[in-house]
Amino acid sequence: MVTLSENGANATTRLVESRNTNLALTTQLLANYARTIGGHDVTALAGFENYYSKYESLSASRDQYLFDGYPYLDQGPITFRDNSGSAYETAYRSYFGRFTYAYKDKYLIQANVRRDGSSRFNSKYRWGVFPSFSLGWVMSEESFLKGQNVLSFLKLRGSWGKLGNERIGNYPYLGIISFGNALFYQAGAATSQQTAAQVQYAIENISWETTTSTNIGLDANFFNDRLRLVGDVYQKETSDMLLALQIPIFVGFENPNQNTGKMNTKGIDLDLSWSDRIGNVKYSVSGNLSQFKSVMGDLGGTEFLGDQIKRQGSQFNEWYGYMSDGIYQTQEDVNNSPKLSSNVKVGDMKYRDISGPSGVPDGKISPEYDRVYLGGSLPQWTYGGTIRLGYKGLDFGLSIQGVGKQNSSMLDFTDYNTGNWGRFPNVLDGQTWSNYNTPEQNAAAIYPRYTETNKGLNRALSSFWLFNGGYMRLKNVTVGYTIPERFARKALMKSCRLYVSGTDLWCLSRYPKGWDPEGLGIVTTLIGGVSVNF
Amino acid sequence: MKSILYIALTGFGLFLAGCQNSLDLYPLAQPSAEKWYSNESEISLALNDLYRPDWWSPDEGIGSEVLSDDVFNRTTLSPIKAGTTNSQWGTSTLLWRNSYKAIARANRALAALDNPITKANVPPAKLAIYVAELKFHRAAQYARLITYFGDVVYSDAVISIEEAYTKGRTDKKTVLASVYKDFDEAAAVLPQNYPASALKRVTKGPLTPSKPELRCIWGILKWPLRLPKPAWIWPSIGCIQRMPAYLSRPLKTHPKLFLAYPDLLP
Repeated sequence: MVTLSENGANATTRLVESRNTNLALTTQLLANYARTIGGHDVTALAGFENYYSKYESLSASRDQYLFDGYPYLDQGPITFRDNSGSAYETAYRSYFGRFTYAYKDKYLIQANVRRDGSSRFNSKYRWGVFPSFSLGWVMSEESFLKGQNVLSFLKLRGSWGKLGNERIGNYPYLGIISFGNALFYQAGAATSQQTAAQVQYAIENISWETTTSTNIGLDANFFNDRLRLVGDVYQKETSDMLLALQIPIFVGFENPNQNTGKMNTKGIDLDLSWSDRIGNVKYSVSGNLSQFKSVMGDLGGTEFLGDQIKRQGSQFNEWYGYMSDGIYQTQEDVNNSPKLSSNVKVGDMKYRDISGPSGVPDGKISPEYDRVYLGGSLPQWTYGGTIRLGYKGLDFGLSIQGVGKQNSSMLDFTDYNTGNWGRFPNVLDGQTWSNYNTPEQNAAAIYPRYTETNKGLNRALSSFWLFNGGYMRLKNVTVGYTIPERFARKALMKSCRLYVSGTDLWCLSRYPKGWDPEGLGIVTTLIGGVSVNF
Repeated sequence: MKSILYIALTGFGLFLAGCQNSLDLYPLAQPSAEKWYSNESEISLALNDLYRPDWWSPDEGIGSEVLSDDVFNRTTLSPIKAGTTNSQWGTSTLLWRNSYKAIARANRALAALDNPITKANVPPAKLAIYVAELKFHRAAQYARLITYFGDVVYSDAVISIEEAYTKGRTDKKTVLASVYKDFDEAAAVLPQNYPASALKRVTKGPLTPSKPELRCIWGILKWPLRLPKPAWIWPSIGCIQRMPAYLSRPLKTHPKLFLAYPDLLP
């Protein structure tokens, strides 16, 4: 890839050429067996897979080109040349087998087993065995469900299985030497010298993370397949989880990934749809809903992720911060409350004293003892739905999607005077506690006062800053018209459809105006088009 | 017919064996620590790392005396002046973290140098200087730690994670004694100076026991005399990259470069 770029205000003409090579080689040996005897269907599969991948990167650049008409590296000034290159490789090997058995499409059994070895682990801890089983019972094939027209299909499913995860960087069990640079004084001038150090603590016996899932499901169709229901309930237990737990800082190495701890996830998925026709109008309505909750088991430690935490009893990436009691409105209240520092003033955040070194509130707010779990950060109750209509050549489609509940943090949208640039977001304007306000205005103020000194204390994560970040989005609306075939034929077309489609048209959420629950880059798109087949 | 089948199968098997690769893969672009520290150039790279500005950074990493009341910013008070520090204050965690990183790297190298392969590859006189340099850096970082934090966790070996959970703080006087011991051992071996063309690394200069005032630069001379108030703030010269050059000369020629601010820290 070659890029010639001019960097914004400090415009220089720069040429970067990079060549990345990615080699992935998968070799498989498979043996299949299938046999049907009467109502009995048996299949078996045995296989071996070998995977190897190597990645190499190489890049060269020069900067401050005088002309951009000769986009080759040789034409650039030699003083501003730079280059880089790196490589890594990974491999795994698997042996696997599968056996299935079905009796008259009524009873279904499947068993799998695989043995995987990964280059990411030390040879002593490299191999893992992961079995799985599943059962199915098509009840609608049974005689006791024949002769009725409510249920047209009914299947019960159950499965249990283990899977391994090894995705944690390429050489986690080795203490890798990282290179850097330091400046030295030599012969009257500063010179740069290469340095080398082991940065990561090496955990030799790091191995597979295993997830055991149990799933029970139901597929049911009613009224001649007009109403369809797919439901699943699952439980997953992840053990030997690969986490970069916080190790004591004085060990002097970066937090290594370790096999530690357990996580329990319980969830449901539901999918319901109805399709039918009334006269010439075809229509269908469908909706889906899923919910899960992950709770951490014994981890043997804590993983801090900014304002979030993973610890025994917490949810996966749960918010972790103070309990807020609002904004201080009177000096008297400030004087008589436990505080984070002696510099807290009226208009600052008031926090609750939860505990202290001896396990009881100590009259002081401190990050060690007064922060609590403030709820999971992952979306809860995600849902979606579609409506489709068709009438002769006309078609209409609409889809929505959303999240029922999600604890989101307001901190990102309410930062003010960032980097001393003097910018204040509109959300805060008129909603902030201030000395210049009347007491009534201050009582109604939503946000704590503007302060540089206590900014860190007020803007530490607390229950105050969390809000329900759930949303509902009109994802897509499409209207189309297919020209009748007899007209299309005349223009030598097989079919012709005209359509107008809008994406991300509307969104309902509690996010401040201008911010989107799904982050930056979501824009409303309108497309009009013609699709023609000849 | 059967033999053709066997030949085909064997050929296919050989083909697969050709694609077979080892699962024993090692980093291609970086060495692993198990094999490092075995010759002079590898050791000197490891030593260079201890001169990185990260371990020698002045207050808040941005300039000298930023923590003191000599430096004020128009819009912001630093947390020490505002009285808003707590255990989440980035500056104190960074200082703690970086000092221990340097100490762990020095301890890691000290352990690695004490092995037969290294001893066979490196002349004993050079090895002694490497060890002295490592001890100097370890001691300097502990000096910084006790200056700012008082009692700290002390270890002269790499701490394993299991060990870390049971380790407590060591009395600052005990740590100081170990610091002095490391400095004395380092001063006994380090050269008086380096040739003009060589890299300026640490010398006997700042460590000579007969010139105890020179130890000021590490903040540890005045400190024990003025208990309980650590009377020193990390000297910062503004020009970090030259730091090793100053270290390599006797301090007396640059008396003003190292400033001591008493009564500054709580």
